[in-house]
Amino acid sequence: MAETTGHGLIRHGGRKLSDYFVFNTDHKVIGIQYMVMSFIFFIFGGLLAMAIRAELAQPGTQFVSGSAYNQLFTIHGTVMIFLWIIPMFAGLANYVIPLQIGAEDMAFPKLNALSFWLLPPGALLLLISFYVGGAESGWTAYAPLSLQTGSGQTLWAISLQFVGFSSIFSALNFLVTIFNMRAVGMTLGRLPLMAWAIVATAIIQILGTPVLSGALFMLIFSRVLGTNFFSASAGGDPLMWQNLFWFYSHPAVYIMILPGFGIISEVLPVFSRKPIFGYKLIAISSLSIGIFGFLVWAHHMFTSGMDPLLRIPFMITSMIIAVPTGVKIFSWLATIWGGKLRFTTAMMFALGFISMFLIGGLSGIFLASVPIDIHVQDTYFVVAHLHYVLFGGSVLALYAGVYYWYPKITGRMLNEKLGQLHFWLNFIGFNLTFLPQHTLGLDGMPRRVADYAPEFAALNLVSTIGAMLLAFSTLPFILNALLSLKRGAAAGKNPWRALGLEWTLSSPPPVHNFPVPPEVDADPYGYGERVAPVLEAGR
Amino acid sequence: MSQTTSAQHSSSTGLDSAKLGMWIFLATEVMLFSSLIGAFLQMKGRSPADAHQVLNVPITAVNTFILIVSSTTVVLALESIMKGDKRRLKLFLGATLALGATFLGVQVFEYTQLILHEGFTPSGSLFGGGFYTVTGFHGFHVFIGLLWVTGLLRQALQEKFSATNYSRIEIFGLYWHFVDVVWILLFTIIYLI
Amino acid sequence: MEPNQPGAKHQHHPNYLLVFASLAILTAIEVAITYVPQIPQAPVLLTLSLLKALLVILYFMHLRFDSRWFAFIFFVPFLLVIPMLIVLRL
Repeated sequence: MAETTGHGLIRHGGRKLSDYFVFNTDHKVIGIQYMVMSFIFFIFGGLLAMAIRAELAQPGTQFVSGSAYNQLFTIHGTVMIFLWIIPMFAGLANYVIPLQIGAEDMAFPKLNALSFWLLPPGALLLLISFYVGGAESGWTAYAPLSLQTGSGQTLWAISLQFVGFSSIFSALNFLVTIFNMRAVGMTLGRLPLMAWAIVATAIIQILGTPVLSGALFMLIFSRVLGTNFFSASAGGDPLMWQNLFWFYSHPAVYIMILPGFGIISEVLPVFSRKPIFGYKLIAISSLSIGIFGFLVWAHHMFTSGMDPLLRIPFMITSMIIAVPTGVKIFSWLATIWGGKLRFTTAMMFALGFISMFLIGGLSGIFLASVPIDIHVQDTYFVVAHLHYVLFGGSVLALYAGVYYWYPKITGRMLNEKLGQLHFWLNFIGFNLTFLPQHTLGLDGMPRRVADYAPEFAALNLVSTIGAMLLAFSTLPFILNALLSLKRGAAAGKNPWRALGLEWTLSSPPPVHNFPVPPEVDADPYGYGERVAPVLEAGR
Repeated sequence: MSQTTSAQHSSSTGLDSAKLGMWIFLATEVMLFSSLIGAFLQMKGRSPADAHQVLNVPITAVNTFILIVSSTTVVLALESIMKGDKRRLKLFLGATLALGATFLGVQVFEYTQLILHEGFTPSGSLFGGGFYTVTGFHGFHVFIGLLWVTGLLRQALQEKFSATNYSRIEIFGLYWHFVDVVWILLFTIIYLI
Repeated sequence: MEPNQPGAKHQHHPNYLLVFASLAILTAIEVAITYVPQIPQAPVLLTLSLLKALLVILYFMHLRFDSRWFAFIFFVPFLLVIPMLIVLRL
């Protein structure tokens, strides 16, 4: 590799601050670039959510017009999904995966840097679209509404193209890296579960994202060139947008949760001092979610006027897909069962993840059932469900991952007291915000409307108070992450006494990772007694 | 596509990383073109049965033939350099560039004819929207391929390839053949049926 | 990547000109068929074009001689394309 120097616009390695602001081919630098940028967008998306909740605190319209409200929830959804959860996972995986499998970098370092640098222009376009106005059709951009809104909608669509290509290229890179760059002895049966989760995620990104790109191109052409793919008035097919959109966007919810499953599978065994239960089942269930996730998309469209013949098959597949997830939940419970638990902040977030994701998963099975779905379609029940999955699931898992790997990334420990405060405020604020929304939805409060009937007032106020608490709970984390950079206790190589390859390196790891190419001769989860595998086999 | 891999690392699976990456990329391309072709078929199904009468089949048949020849020249270029024949490598890469450019030129000519003389536009009919989207995307892929092969030709002229170093030719070949495969299907689906 | 494991499965050299000739002839047959309305157009033409596509994939792209993994990666997406096309048409 030629560009291992610290000069010029293509650099490798993070030696000084400016290395983090250029086209850098070091996976660790790219990982940090991803994580910092997406966290900034998390705050931005959170502020939009606060504006939404402020408007909804009382019935009637107080702060924003209907049109502005539409933009708020559109940009909130888009930012949280495409600029926070997906790139944040990509960043964490970028940092961790090569270390975990014993590689000196990703397989295609330049492509890796390109994947990151596709994001800022995409993000910029999204912000401009917010400024211009017009992206008002929700993150799902259903036609024909998305054909009638203002010019910001076009920018919105173009911005998603950038983000989509970034996602495709990073997935390609992960697949080649994980399959081809493993250390000697790192067989597929010893691959960390985080890596298996990223494999499954990457498969979805590879096969799903291009379909979204195709649909977005058609939307852009329809808005700019006047093609009539989705306009019923000209004979086009508005349902085709929904089909193509959900063909990507349902699997995309697995893009947003599978890496979280991976993180949880790493964190639980370490802080339970027990081997992971059912390694193979967890790996296989990730892969099967990756494949079967493509066969459930039309459950978003039960009320759309699609062929009723399709409802039952999609209802059945949607319920089947809960099985591999259930397998994981039980494997995790069996992992902590009888373990010597250490309730570090990372562990708290992991446990919080299991309980909250379980609620989101169960309401998901609820929604998969056609009659119930028809009843609660586009109500706050759906909003509650998706936030239990994406916040209670993905975001809690991300926090678990950040608290777990922060010492490796920075070389410093995070403050545990602030961490615990963060967890509890977050956990309470989250439930206060979204638990009442189940009831609101069942009572019939529609989503995506700025105003609501007076009988929903009390629970909405509770939800808004919870949201403010949730927003406030981020402050201890930001404070903690910034202060600990300098003042945190030195982490050393392996503060958690974990077994993964990344913990054999100094914190932070050297520029080219492993001074000596590592060799692996044991499974990554052999915590506790050596007889553990025997016990597990006997079960 | 970046062709630089993280060098020295030997491959755990024994598969060449660049080639593996290219095949994965082609899998994404399969999905992209499938969604576009699916949309095209949907638009065609909603259009009058004689919607494709405006298209000029004979010229496009010749154009299809040109693209097939260009695919053959790429594979011959690869075979030449595998045998160490650098002269024929340059010859065949140059031929590929010329043939691909001809294909694209004919497509541009076709577009102008259709728009100016037939009044067949993307917004005029459902069939038109589908037609220009799918063929336009294919044409864009040909264009990218032309830029790519121009770069390779430059490197070939600088004698960068040899009988032991031809991976980049092979990777490009995969891409170019895939673009050819897409066109073979499009020609039948759009022009003939 | 520097060396390309020349010893491996690369050494198959199918007769590329024969493949090319088949592609050209099949194309000509396809165009000819459109002038004979008695022949069922869509099924015959689709079969011929799939045959052509397969010729390119198997011989020009060396999928017949290369690792089975590449074939796997390339053909799996088609399993998803089929349900997508079916639902789009319904």
